[in-house]
Amino acid sequence: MKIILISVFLFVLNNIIAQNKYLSSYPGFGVEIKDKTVYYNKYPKDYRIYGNYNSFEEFNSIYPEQTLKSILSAKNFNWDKKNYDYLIENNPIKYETSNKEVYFELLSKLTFNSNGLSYSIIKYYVNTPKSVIPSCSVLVRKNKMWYVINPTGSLSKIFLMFNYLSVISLNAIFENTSIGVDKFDQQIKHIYLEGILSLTKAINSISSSKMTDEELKIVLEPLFNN
Amino acid sequence: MIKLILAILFLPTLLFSQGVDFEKFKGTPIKATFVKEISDERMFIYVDNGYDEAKNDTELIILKEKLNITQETFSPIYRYSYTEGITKVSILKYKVLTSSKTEKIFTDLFIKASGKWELVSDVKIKSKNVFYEVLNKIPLRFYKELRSSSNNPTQKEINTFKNLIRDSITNIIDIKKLAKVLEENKAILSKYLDE
Repeated sequence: MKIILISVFLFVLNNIIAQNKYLSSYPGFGVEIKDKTVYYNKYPKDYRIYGNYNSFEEFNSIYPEQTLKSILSAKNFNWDKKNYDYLIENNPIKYETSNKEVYFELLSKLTFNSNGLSYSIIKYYVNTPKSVIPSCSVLVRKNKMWYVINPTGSLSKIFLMFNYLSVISLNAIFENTSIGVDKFDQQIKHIYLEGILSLTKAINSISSSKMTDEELKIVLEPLFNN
Repeated sequence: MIKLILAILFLPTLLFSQGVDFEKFKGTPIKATFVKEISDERMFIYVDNGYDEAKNDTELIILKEKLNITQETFSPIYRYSYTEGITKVSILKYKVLTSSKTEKIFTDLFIKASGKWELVSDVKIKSKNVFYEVLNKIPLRFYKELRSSSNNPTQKEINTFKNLIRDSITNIIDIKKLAKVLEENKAILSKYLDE
């Protein structure tokens, strides 16, 4: 399992490096997030959302969670593709087999506003009768609707952080606390300056030394070890 | 009939309670710094022969038509485009050959609303757009110098504040910091800027 996990990391990292190389021909302008504030939410234990919308028109998509519910509820391709800001593939089997036993267990969420858009990153488990799969979605709100997007640039790094770190680690990062793993706790100290979180530092932070298997079990998403 | 009434009453209650449910998950505000890169940004440089993307820029013709300038006297330099919320924005810098055969440089702001590009002439709107404010002042060579990872020894004044506006980890240029530096260092930087 560890080899698979490492391969996934390398694969994703390679993609990001390639992407950054491509982006180097881009202007590279940016703006500070609105009010220099991010919002971090911890969902209650075993908080579930089900696919119980009857139509796409049933909800107003005021909240990003509603788009995740809509994905679970989608009964056809025409409905499903409205949840995404990019072209998805038609998957008739998904719509035929859609049942109430599949649900998302929501774990944590980060939200912020930048350059007129709202972004939300949600970590959750996809629960089916046969499996539990860790997952993460990056959403943007535009045209009064939350859409799932294909993250690029810094958003892809936030996606990696939420996808591969455990909830305990994420809580420690955003609450400026420790988890009892010295190498990780040192990283947290470096991403705060006078009590203010540097999200840029957080998503680019690398441990000063290699962590042991026991330490990684705490730091990384536990379901990737199963 | 009673069942139907109950169902009608129950459904909006369900929808309402669901919305309220998510409202409480807005999250705790945390003070943070994060300069996020601009979505969908592009820089088309028309004066560099090797820049294929600029050669194929089909929107330049549409923007040029809004300017009421003859083709013979118009010479594009660069166009920066990006998306702000759901609005597409373009800033075009170009040269015009005047009747006295001298070249004059202009910078114009365009906004794509309802699927159509419009030239912005309202000074108040222009002054509120930080990208226009910056790009109106900086010529192409200045922009290239900002993007360059190495320092040009002949442009010491630019090098001194490069690190102030660029993120040390991501190299992203904070456009608002750049606007501030240009404003506060007008005299020192005047020789590098457009009039």
